[in-house]
Amino acid sequence: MERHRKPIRGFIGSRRAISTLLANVLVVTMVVALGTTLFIWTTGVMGLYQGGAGLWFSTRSEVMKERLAIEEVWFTGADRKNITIYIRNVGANEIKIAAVYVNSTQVWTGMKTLYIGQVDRVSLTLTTPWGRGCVTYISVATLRGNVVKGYWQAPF
Amino acid sequence: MRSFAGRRRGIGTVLGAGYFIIIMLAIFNLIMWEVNQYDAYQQLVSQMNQVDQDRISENLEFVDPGVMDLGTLGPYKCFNLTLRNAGGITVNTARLYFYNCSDNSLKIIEKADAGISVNYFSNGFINPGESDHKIGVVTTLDMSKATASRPYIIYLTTERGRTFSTVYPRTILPRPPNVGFIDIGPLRFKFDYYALNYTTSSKIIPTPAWIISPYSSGTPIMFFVTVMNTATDDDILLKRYCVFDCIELAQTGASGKVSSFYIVDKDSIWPGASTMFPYVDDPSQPGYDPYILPKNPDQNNPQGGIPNIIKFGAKTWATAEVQSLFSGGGGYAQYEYLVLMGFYYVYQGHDYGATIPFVAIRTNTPT
Repeated sequence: MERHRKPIRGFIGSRRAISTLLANVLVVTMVVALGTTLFIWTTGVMGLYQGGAGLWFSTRSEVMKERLAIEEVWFTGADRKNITIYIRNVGANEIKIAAVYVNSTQVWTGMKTLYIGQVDRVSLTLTTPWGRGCVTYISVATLRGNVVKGYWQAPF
Repeated sequence: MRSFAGRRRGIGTVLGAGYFIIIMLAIFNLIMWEVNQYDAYQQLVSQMNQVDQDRISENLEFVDPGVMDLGTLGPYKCFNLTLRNAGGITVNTARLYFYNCSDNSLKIIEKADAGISVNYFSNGFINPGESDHKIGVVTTLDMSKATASRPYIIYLTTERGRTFSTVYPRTILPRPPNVGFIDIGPLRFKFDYYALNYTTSSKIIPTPAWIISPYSSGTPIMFFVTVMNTATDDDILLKRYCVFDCIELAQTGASGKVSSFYIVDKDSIWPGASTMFPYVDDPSQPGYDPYILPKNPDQNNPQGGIPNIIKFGAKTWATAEVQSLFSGGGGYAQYEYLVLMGFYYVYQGHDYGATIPFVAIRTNTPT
């Protein structure tokens, strides 16, 4: 205990080698430096992972909650070029209709928001008339990537 | 402090241990966060699965005659729709659509609500097991004028997104002996105006193929034929050799005047590199997806089976090489063709083949 109270003179006079002290200081400095680096790196990596995983979970959850139903498809128009599609949101999330395909050809793009339980219609104008009695393949795509599709027969 | 300073354990060890503990705590925290997120996601998946399960549990049947108790309510018409809930869950009706087949009009009937004085329905909540549930409809439609030749199709949509439909008035079609069909073996070919269609790259919606006009010589073309399996004991698998032969009439001699269109994959839409696909009926080959005509599930079905649309368009079998009708004459030449079809199929484990005398078609000829 006494040696800790030694003045500078005592320190110089002590028998402990200066290299031992320097080594201790160096080790402590290295531990601090490496530990801090490791901590910062770990925090960054975990933050990145957490951000990515969080985005995945939230995106998938939003997609999972989407449900829509095509209630009715009405083939109209004197020139047989119009189709009206009635779509209902039966999911647990609002839906944004982004595109409609008829026989695998995109005929409508836009943004139509359907709130939960809401029903709305999308009116399409084709470039060529629908064939009388022809079975038509219709797909409705949402902005989040869900697609509802089916076959409807045009009137004779 | 004094004792700490006097210890021989290095400050580096203590700091290292501290860092280690902090990092371990951070990792533990991350794992816990991940578990929480995953748990929340799984709960959502289960919840939405339940929603889907509820939806497919819905099953409504219209009870004959479908529409009953026709009457008036002030200036409007009223009637009841009679339904049976054959499903395992309560159904809440969301909307009704009345499609008039004769004038192609559509009437939408909404749920009764304040502010709606006409075109509404009530009593749309149908419990499981109810057999004569009546949905009251008040509308401007006069359903008493509906006849077998001017029928309505009634669509009932539910809040879970299902649609159930019926025709009103319901009719039982007479079953005349083999009118409108060509029967050979277990195969039944539908023969009406819409049973034979074609597509080209400029006419991608199937169109009746009795008179193909305008048709430019050499244009690749695909044909669609409606076929049913009338057998009740086994399905029929079509082989890749099935062919739709168009025999040109106006020219002398048969050589070179026959355009053969072989069967193509059911996903084909119109003749093109990415829209027509080879027919693969060999299970060892990639893309194996043959036409299997399902057996007739109901002997009393007036149609005699389930209609299947078979597509022809390949120049050689099991390829997607496009084929055109006889290209002699150039331009928009007028031709007549006799169409014979060769159907090669497997039924009850045996290979069969049949020549079908089918139709006669024309290109560019006056109507």
